[in-house]
Amino acid sequence: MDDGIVDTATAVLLVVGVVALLAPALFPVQQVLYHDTGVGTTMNGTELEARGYTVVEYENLSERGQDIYVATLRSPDRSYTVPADQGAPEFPYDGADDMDEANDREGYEERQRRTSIVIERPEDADLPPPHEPVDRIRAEPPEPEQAAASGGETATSASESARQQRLEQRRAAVGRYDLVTVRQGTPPVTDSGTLLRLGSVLLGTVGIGLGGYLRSRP
Amino acid sequence: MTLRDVARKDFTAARRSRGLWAVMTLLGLLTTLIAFGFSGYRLGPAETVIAIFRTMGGMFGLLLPIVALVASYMAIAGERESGGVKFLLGLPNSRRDVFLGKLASRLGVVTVGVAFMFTTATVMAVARNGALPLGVVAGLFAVSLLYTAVFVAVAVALSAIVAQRSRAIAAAVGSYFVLVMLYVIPGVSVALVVRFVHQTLLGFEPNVDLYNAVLYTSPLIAYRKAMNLVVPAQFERRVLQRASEGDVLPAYLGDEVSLLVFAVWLAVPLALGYWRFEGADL
Repeated sequence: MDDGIVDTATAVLLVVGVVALLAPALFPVQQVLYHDTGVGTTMNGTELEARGYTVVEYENLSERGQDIYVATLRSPDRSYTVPADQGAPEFPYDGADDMDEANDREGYEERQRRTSIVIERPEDADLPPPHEPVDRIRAEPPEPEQAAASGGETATSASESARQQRLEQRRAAVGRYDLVTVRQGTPPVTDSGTLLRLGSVLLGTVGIGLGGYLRSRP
Repeated sequence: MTLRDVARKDFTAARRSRGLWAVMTLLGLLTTLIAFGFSGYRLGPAETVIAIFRTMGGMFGLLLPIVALVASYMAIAGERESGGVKFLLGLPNSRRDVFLGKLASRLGVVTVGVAFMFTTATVMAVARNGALPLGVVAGLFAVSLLYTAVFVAVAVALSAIVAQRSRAIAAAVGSYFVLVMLYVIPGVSVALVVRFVHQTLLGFEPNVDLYNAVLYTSPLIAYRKAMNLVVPAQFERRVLQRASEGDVLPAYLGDEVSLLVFAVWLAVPLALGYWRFEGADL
């Protein structure tokens, strides 16, 4: 092959390689805000408040907060991200910034409490279903005296029906309170901007490697 | 020709190697992918970048010696086997010029390689996290370079001692096992051997500091300790075992001593290699 063409190709490879390698560092991806309803809770509003969680009625959320909450509920993976400057003011994105790494259960719970907000859904709300794990709530076992006293089949059936009713009430009460965990972080690896930067760095690395070899060979 | 000419000629020959460019490119791709795939849990951007390099340090501990040994094991042995050393010494060059010129050249080659790996990793880490803790990255680069230089010194020294390619390969592989693998493979670890001799054969009471001191002679352990010198406190790792929780390590097992370990591993092999090369019948 003509030496001139090889020299030109080598120079192009090196220039493209250097630019492709360095450009992503000059234009890094921006941080995003994560909203996650996948953590869930089996506690109702009163219990959550007693544990220090902030409970906010859906109607009292800002318009942006409502939009983000609904978008998170509609997300198949129960997680929704928005650019860092497009979050909702009432969500505690930086609630645990001053905390050290949590290595024990208490630290983890404290971090969870500081970075979560509990949204009280209106009754009969026209909202997507909550992600709270209400199925995990089991009916309480029958009390021993009650079980011993209930000789007849009718009494047992009535007792079972009452327990089921209480269970449904409990599930409905828990289902009204949706725990949303928020944080600020780097975009997920599948983000198109992140993948574009990866492609650029890989191209730059190969370009410099190939161009460098072609330029150095005898 | 002078020392500088020897170094320049050797560097030019080394950079023409397709293999070296391929290895450098592959390592650059590897560090890029690690920096891309790393996800720090509940860490800020700068902390994530530090955590990336801290994690990479674990891999570098095993990888950089291979890079250094492969790039350097034939530095002088290759010239001796091909007869080129007679040509080199036929010009007004002393054996010192050849030895130091080859050393400088191979140090230059691995410096370029390590710098490229750090560049690709840094670019990807910054692109993904938007922060550059320059002091920590520069510090880890310096420590990694020092660690790599130790193995270049060992490889060049061994290359000066042996006269054949096959022996140079065997010496390079052997040095990797003796200086690195013996300190990480469970079951054949140097620490276990010393513990066995000290406690079982000689019947002494357990002495954790003694076993630690023997471990600390490895450049790999010194590298792990040296990284603690350049990272913030929360990223420091406990490298050596302690007799009990809360026990303070004696001063001779401190992180700063790692620099002394590096200095010894740089100076002693080079002195031995040069001494044997000076007296060798070429």
